[in-house]
Amino acid sequence: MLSISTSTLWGATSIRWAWREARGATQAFIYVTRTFWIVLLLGVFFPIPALGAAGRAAETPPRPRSLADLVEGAAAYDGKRVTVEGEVVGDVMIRGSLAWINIGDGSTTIGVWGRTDLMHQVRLTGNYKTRGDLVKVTGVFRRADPNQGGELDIEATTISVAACGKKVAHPVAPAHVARAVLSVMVAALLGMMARLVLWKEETREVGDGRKP
Amino acid sequence: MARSLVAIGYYTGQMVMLLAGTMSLPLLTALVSREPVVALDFLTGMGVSFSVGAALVLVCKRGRKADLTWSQGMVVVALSWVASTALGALPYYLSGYWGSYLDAMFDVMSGLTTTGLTLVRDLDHVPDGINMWRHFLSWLGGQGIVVLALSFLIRSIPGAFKMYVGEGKDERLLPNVISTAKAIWYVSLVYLAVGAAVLWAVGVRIGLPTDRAFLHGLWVFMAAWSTGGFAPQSQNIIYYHSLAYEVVTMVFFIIGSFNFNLHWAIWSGNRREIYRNIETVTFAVTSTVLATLVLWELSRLGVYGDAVSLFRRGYYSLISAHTTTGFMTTYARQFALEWGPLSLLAITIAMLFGGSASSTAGGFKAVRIGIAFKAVVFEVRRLLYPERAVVVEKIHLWRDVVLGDKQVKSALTIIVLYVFAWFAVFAATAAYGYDLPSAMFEAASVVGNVGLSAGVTSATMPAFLKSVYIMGMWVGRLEFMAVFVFAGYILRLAKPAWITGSRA
Repeated sequence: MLSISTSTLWGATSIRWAWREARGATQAFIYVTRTFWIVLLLGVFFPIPALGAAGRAAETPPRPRSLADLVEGAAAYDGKRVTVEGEVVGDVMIRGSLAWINIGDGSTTIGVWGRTDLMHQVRLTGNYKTRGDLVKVTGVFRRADPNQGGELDIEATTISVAACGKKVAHPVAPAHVARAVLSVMVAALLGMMARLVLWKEETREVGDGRKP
Repeated sequence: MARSLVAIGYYTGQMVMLLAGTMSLPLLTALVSREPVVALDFLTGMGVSFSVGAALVLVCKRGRKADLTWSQGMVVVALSWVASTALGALPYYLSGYWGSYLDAMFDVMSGLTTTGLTLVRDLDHVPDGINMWRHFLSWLGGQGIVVLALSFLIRSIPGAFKMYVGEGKDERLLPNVISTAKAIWYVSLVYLAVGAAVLWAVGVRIGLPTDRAFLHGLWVFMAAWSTGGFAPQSQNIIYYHSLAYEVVTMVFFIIGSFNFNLHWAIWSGNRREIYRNIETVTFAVTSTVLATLVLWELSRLGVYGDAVSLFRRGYYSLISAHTTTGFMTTYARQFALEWGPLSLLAITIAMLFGGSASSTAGGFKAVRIGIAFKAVVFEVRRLLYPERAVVVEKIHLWRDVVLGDKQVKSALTIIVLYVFAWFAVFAATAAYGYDLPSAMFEAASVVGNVGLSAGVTSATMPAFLKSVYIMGMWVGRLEFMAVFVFAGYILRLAKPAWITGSRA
């Protein structure tokens, strides 16, 4: 009990004194001591970078869980800096000094535009034959971007490739071939039979004088 | 009854064999794009479809010379659409991009009816062969499977016009129905060549590689002209991030929503028809009124801050809805989350109104809206004028004609049926717990064969609702009569004594 009560008073006592106290203390006291040190270290070092970011406190990047989150919460994220990850799909569309890519994460796909040089690092884009590069995009999300005719998009400031894309193989299985050959053979057989039967019918009609 | 069944079976078999033939285009695309697995899937699809068609023709060979009655013509059309949906889904299902056979059938029906709603998974990685099939189905469905059959397969059959009418087309461009079908294809193919070339050029200009720009141009034109609304990427038209692409597609889907007779009239030198025709006048009025509502509401809510944004998102969506195209320049959920009730209502009404009759568009059709409006004006005038006065109301549809009771009754019947169908689909959607505005919006999109979505349509939606949507698209595209006759025919087969009233 003494140990615990001591730990609660640590904020008002010296660290050295507390450490001495802890030497003969219970396990619970040791945990509390370690926590204190961690909190102290975080308290000293965390504010240093935080001070640098103080001027842009309003732009602290929210972390959408998915791209669909951005669409669902478009009003909340509007104008904010966001960092998202997704596979580049389709094409990199270069239009002079600016370029567009589209990234998808399985929940939805959204457009990202920025300086053309940012897009040059994209090597593979996703389609049937390739899995596109997985990119990490940081930029400003806009619900209705006035620069792009009201489109919901991200204006990228940084893009980095988190994982390189790769070719996707689509091997032909023997079952595929067998299925196709069998169905074509049956079709050919039935088609020839239909042709023959209809021809016989027509010939008989001509023979019967039913057809000029 | 047996003779009737044989005739229906024979012509349905012919249609199914034609469907098998149409799979050669995606097969060729898969081969050129070096997609051997996809090519084998299409070969399987072709084989199975051709076998079913040939078997039907063999079994029903005596139906070859039958003179189709009106009901038989309608049943052939309805049955051909069902068979095409079931068999056309095979390559989709084999590709593995659809979660179930029902999902694959949903997408085929959506394509054939030029709706454009989709349940495909991972569209951004779909092979070229499959994408060609998606858009080609839309293209075929826009012109009509029967129109295709009359043009290229069935040279001369008694009762061809009855099948033609059963597919929702009721005007002949030329005295002969087969010549009319060929003329429809002629008009469409010329536009295809021009439209695909323009979109190809725009695609290259906005940064697509030349080969991709060609395929995208071809596919997007097919979807625009047929007012289908499919696109090769999951973001639909947003994928291109281009005003030029949006404007070009808008021009082509507006043209695509016009009556084929209007195209023919203009091609024949009668350009004044475009200003005088009741359909174009009605479309101009309704689209202006509804666009004003949408733009006013979006401005009031501050959804878009400038005129360009309002045009590219608000106006584009409204016209896409009104022509029943379904191309999207906003994300589906944005409709539900941001657009406000008045905008959603205006878009819903636009989807129900639809484009012109005898076109690729769905909905009530402008001619029926025009006739209904004229009928109201006529009644008001009749009440205002002295009792002895002879009041006549005229409409201009290729020529000036006096508005008669028969036309009004016919137009109002179809409008009422559309409203009933919309309500049934809306009720089914709402019953599954979707919010009412989204359910109303999605139901109008389904029945009007539009393809805009408020986020309800997805691969995870309940299977029963998918089936209801398939029915809704089918009924909406064939404008009820063929489906009703088909249903009546089935009932008659099942319970002949009850339906025919026979005491035997």
